Amino acid sequence: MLPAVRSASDLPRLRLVGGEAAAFRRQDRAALDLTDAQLVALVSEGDRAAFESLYRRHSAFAFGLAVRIQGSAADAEDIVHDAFMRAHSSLTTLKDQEAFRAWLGSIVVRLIRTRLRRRKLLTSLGLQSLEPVDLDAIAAPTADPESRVLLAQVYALLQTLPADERISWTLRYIERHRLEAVASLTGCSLATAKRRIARAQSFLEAHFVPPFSKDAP
Amino acid sequence: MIDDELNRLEKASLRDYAGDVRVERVWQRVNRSLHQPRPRVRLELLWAPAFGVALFALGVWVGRSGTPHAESAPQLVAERTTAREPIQPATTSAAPAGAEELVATPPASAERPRTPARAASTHELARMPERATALRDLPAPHAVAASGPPDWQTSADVGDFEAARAALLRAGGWDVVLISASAEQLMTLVDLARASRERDLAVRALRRLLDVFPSAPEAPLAAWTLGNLLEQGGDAEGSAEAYALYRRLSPAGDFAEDAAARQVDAALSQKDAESAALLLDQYAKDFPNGRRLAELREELAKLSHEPSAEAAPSAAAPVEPAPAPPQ
Repeated sequence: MLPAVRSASDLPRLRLVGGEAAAFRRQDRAALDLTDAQLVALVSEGDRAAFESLYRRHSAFAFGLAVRIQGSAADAEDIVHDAFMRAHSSLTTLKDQEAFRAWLGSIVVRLIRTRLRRRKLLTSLGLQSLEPVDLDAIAAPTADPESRVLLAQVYALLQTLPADERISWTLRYIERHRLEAVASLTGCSLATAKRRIARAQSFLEAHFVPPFSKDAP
Repeated sequence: MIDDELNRLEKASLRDYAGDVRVERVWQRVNRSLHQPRPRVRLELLWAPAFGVALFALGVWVGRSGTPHAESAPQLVAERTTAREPIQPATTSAAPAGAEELVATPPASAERPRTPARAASTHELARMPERATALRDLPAPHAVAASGPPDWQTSADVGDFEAARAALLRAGGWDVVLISASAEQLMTLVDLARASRERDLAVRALRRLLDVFPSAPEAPLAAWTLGNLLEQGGDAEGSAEAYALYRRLSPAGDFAEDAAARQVDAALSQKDAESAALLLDQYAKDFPNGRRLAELREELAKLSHEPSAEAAPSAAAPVEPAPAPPQ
């Protein structure tokens, strides 16, 4: 494990000089498995290969987050693209470089929230139809039928909730983030995050029917 | 209930996007975008559209100020009335099998004041497939103020309690806001009060929520929080009542076991062995594997072996001087 570094200047050996040396450095970095903080420091100095490493490391997380919060893969590519572009352009504002993943997650969540609100507005105006839940995008191909039915029901209920509650609940119960992480990702206080989750949970508890139980229709 | 189901859901049941072809496709886009020079906005070119927009806005304003409101007002009122109209309970003829259970589930909210409902939710539900169609006619889960949240709530929601308090003062102060606040806003007020260590204000907001919105989704959490605050304030009786209320509102809630145990705690702290024993029995019945059963039984046993409250004063009473021996 490498010691944490504050900036790329702490890594003189890894400074880029271009050409073959750059290619070598790329391999070197991959072999050394740099930390996020080290990669962020390199990106801040204009290293695009380091940015690609960050993308490779966190894109699946961002993609999964986008799909699972929305309940469909619609626009997930746009969201991930925009999130990484924003991350790249405002990387200098990231204070804790090791927290790149959480910071990226908060960008993704903000983009999704904007999209969900816009979609709700357009739907209420009759300008857009409601997006159906894309179960194949959420559940793994190997998921058992019980899990698929459970997810289908949960997501159908989630669609009726306001965006903030839906996002907070999904982050807590589907993504399994801690409450503090949910608050951080959604950019609100811990108390607000708890309240949003509690409201969503209360609604789901009231309307959820366990799959394959005798009460299930 | 839903917790148990979700706990059984394995992480592997969710799709993993590592190595997905779309991830690679997005990288190609990101890479292209990074290589493209960013368009520079020339500020001087913005003057023309800005001037046009300002001119248009001025025209609209002049037009509106010169138009009598008599014709437009009734239409607006009619629209609002429609939006506020309560949604009727589901008719079983339209709902699929099993919808009866779903419809019967939400708590009665007859006493709850109606606020503008989420019209979009019913619209959305109308297009949802299968099981969700049973929810079509349920009342909207949450009311949303038509004019958007007040400033103090917006600030509090992002954790800026200082700005929230300032906005609260601008809105007329605590008493004014408390009366008109929704259940959600009352919980925000509780947060504000707790952040500034004003327990009494928090307790007032919580009591108001439980009085006015007893069937709101926030009510169980409010009862639990009230119990905590009263317990911290030394009001054992009040906290026991709040915990009991929590258990009634949310018998299978996250804090149900804790609430049961804390009811016993409250009785023990009041040296009420009889009530403590009854509550402990109930706790053991509801939670046979309760985490605090052994500890509370021990506490109760200790209390039962202590000298009774009536006996204690006589021991501590000043000793009468012995009568003088007969001469």
